[in-house]
Amino acid sequence: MKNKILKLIFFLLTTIIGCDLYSQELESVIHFDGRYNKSDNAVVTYLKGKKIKDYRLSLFHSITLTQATEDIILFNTTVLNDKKHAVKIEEIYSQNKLRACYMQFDPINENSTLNRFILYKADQENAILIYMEGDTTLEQLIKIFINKN
Amino acid sequence: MEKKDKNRTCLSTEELKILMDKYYEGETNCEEERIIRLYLNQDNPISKQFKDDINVQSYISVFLNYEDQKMKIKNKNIYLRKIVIRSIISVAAMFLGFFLVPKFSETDDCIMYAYGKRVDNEEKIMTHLNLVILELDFEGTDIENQLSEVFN
Repeated sequence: MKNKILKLIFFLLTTIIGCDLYSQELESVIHFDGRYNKSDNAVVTYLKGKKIKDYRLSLFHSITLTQATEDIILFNTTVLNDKKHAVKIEEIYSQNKLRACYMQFDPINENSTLNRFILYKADQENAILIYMEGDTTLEQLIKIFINKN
Repeated sequence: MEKKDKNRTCLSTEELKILMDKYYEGETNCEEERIIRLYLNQDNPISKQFKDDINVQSYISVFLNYEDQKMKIKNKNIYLRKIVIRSIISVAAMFLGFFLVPKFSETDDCIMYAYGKRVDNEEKIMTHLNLVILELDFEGTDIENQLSEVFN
């Protein structure tokens, strides 16, 4: 009986090890670890699957902060660091401060066709940070969002 | 045959003959066979009368040893085969997990946390999603005005 249990555990372990593991290469992604779920001044949305299919996305994760100066400084730092890895960028500065930044990144690994996107908009107290994955491009996302307006 | 002391190897010729006949009929038990082997291997006048039976015993023990070796090799092969099969299954399971588990783990999720409270109402979530999209400006013009409109 003991041998059978050990064999079953070994079998399960080999199966799990073979599974894909999520790789957090982008710094901004750490903000989406759930730390803002219980926050009084944040709205966090997480969508996956059919609901965002129209946008050609597979994952949509957003954080909207209000009256959160310190968090916005952190957001600015991680977004600026992630800029180095972006393949496409659109930035908007105002008074030498980053106000909006829309970036596209390569897929997470060679086997994936899903590009990654970070859309970020902020002023001194309020911010919107969005992380998305999808089989689309930054230009197509812009087109879709504009058509939706 | 009566039960005798385990170590007794002193049999009469008659007793040994009866035992040998029983042996050739296939009716001896393990204890009786042990006594036969023990007695025939001793150097005494009576056992010398059973020279032919000694030869038969030797032949049978060689044959039995050969069969035993064959069985050991067969069991070893079966054991190795089991190990190989289990290894193949483990590797196959790993590859299955690599390719299939991500595919089947795709689920539809629609969750929102609004100011610390969880919201599962899909309509509200989609409304908020549309609002977030509206707040993002992709035109790149009059940004400051639009920002102030959105956040004020």
